[in-house]
Amino acid sequence: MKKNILIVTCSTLVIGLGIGTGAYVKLNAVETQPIKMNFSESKVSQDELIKSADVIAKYKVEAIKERKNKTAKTVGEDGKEFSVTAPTIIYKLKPIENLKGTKTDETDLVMIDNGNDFIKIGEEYVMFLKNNKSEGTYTLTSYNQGLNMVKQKSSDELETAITKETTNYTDLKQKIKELSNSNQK
Amino acid sequence: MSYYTHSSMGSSFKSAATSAASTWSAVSGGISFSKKGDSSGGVVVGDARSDVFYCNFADLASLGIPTYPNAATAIIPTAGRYSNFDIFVNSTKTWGDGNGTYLDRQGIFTHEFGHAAGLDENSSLPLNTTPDRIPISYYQTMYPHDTEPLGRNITYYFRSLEYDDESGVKAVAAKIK
Repeated sequence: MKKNILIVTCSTLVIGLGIGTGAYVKLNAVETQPIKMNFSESKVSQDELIKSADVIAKYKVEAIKERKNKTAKTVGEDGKEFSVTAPTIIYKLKPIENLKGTKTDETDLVMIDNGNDFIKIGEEYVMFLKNNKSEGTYTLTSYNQGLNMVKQKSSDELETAITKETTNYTDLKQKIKELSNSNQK
Repeated sequence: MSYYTHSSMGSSFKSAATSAASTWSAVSGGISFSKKGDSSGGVVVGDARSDVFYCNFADLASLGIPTYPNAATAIIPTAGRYSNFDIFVNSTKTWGDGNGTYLDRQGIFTHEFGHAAGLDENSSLPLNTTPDRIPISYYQTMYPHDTEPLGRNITYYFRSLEYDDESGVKAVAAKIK
């Protein structure tokens, strides 16, 4: 019975999302309609997660920079190209500690716009990012494992934003260093 | 809820999507899906047309789509409720039909249509016991991973709904009414 209540609670949240649509912030005169995304992922090892990221860093989320609809091209099974358009949200991140990849003063994280309930402004996260080189933005490599909230600024404990699994920050830094050293040999 | 299968999918994906939707529709007192036909051309996430489509997630990185997921479901709320959704499947993954080492198309679609029906992930272990004592066929469709804690692929077993899946969708339907 407990499980069912949990599911209904979550589902109620989904339905309730639409209630506040009139209150969403409008930036740059572009109005987007936030959506709820569910990503079904395979769980990958920490080694693989580290290797596949262009950049790993601890960031402070400073602000929402922009909300806009964007379009990208992809290819179907038949080999034909088609476009996909979706509402996006771009967060301005301030790096606190760089663990892998290029250091920058400011990073733009692009995500599907799912309202403001996913990433909290002012909070710190350790993120595993891919570089969208053509436009200078970054995307999470994984929703389940690529976004780790710093639970307390003084502590070493990280918690994945979606699946609520914990990791130790010092251990993660050590692992990244080990993998970097083994690649250099 | 109605949906279209997009021309980006071949016949195996289209057939798997239709079967998955039918699985949920068969739950008495749940949420019913009906296929309106095939769609083609550009997909707009958030418009009034619910598309089920096949794409390369790496191509969509500039939209904020991560590269890792097998599939994704977008629910689009309008006027306090939602009636539209879009399901994406990732072309970079290894897909098949049946109980193999690949991702089972129908199983993954059944999981995604569960999200379209309003269900979230349900990470509870079946039988409230340890993974070594759980037959893999017992994992609920809305289990959040494609493998169970011991690493065995369970996507084929997502095809059939378990008690939690059915009671969850009935509760959503009751809430809506």
